[in-house]
Amino acid sequence: MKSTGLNRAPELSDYFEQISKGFENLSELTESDIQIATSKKNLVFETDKVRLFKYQKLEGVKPAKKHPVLVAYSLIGSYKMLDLQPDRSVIRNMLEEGLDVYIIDWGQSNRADRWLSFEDFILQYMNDCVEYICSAHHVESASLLGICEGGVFATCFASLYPEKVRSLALAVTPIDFHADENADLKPEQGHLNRLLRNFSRQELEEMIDAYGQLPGEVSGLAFLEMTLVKSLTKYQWDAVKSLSGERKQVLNFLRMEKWLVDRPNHPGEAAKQWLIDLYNENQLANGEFTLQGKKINLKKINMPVLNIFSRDDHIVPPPTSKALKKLVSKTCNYQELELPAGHIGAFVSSKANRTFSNAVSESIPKLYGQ
Amino acid sequence: MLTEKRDDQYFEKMIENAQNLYFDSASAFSNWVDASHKEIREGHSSAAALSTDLLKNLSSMILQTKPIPTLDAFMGADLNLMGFSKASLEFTAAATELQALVIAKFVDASKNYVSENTTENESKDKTISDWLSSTNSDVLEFQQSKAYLDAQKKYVTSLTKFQKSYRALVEDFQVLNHLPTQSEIDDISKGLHDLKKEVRTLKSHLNKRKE
Repeated sequence: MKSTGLNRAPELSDYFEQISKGFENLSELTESDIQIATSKKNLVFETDKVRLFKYQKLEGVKPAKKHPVLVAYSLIGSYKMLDLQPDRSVIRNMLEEGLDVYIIDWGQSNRADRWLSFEDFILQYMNDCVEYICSAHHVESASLLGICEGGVFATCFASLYPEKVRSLALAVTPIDFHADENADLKPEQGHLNRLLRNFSRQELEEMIDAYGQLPGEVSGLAFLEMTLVKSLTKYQWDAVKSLSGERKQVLNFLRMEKWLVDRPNHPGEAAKQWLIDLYNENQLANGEFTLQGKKINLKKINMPVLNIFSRDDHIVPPPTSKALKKLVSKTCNYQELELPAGHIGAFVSSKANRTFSNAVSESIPKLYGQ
Repeated sequence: MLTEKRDDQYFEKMIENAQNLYFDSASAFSNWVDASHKEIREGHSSAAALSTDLLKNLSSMILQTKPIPTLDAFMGADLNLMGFSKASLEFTAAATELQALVIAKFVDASKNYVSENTTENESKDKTISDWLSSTNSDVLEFQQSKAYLDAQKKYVTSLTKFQKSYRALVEDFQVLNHLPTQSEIDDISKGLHDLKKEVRTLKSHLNKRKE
């Protein structure tokens, strides 16, 4: 066999120099340098651990006179992803458009919250937030922006209370959890769907009951496991490069890491609905998903819908999101936007997050009489 | 005043009367006891059995209030310890099996890369990047295989068993030491959750009636 590139040992001195530079960079940074979610906001409503924030308007920006927007993020990650840093902030972009932006912080759940289910999050918490916003703005309906699992919450809410939703924007939201089967996917796509289908209902129930919840550490590990090689090299090879680079690059890396470790626990009963009813049994697309005995009928979604998905999303394969088109009412104004990004890149990539925000802002209807 | 002779006669008579009275009473009491016994034996056998049981239970209760584990509870902890050891071994085996599968795939992928890339790259970074990219493709493809998915499932289900057996073991300790268990706390939190929902529903009804 001929000598190959692998036989050339890496130049260790370069490598150690990079490590040294990385430490030097880290020693110069303080906690305040890696603050995330810095857009100013006020707490306007809270119930149990759930808090509703309203972002403060930016100085000098004219009000868009559009319906207020309620943003619902997933329970699996923190909403702070949407406002990671000022130059990569979906929230800031929407504020620059003059929108009234509200966001739900689902709170840090622990084992005592294990009984919280989709019913609590959608019929109670989300409903309370929408009612608050409608009352504060003297409108009958608000616009919803749901992301990933938060998108499923928003979809269920819109189908149950179409009169309270003026428009629905979804981002990287799985609707048909089995649409990955036989679809033309990239090798890294659909792993979570395949993995969860390989379990029985009982096995998944027992897994969640053993913890009483889906601990943040466990879901974090599950995400790392999806792309084994990338995860293994991230902190061995790539991190050295990221930390030894320019200050801006180092800050970008650390802010993202800060968000990644802040992974909340997912309440147990809601985790059963998410992993079993939806991922494993695909009840939402099959029209079998119920909340407090009420069947979620996606045909009842009759307001304008903007469905955004990411071409390279390895967590939510695009076909699982795109399936919504065939499931909503034909009378609704349904639009799609495909972003050349990954699951998180849609919100933090400098180019994709601007395209994303512009599309969302455009989809929010003007207030009546304006 | 009584004379000495008259006194003797008086006492003899008194003792005779007392003896008669005693014998009459004793005889009457004996007859009553015989009659009662007969009645209990013939008509109230179930009551007798019940009192025997009560006596036994009372003894057990007194024994169980001792601050030491009873034999049964100790054996329960023993069994739980055995279950925990078994689950721990099964989990370790499943984790090792999964790791072995992944490592074997990494090795295969590296061999493939070396055999398919016979020309040297100009830079070490390019070599490492190409090698990782090739390994990534091979591993991602492998992650779709039934062998990998089943190994993952085995890992997760054995971890679940491990968690359950650990909890059973901890709860034994908690019960024996009069500490609240996780199961009891779960029961309380469930009750609280349901109660909050009920209060919320009631509040909502009240508000509607006010309107």
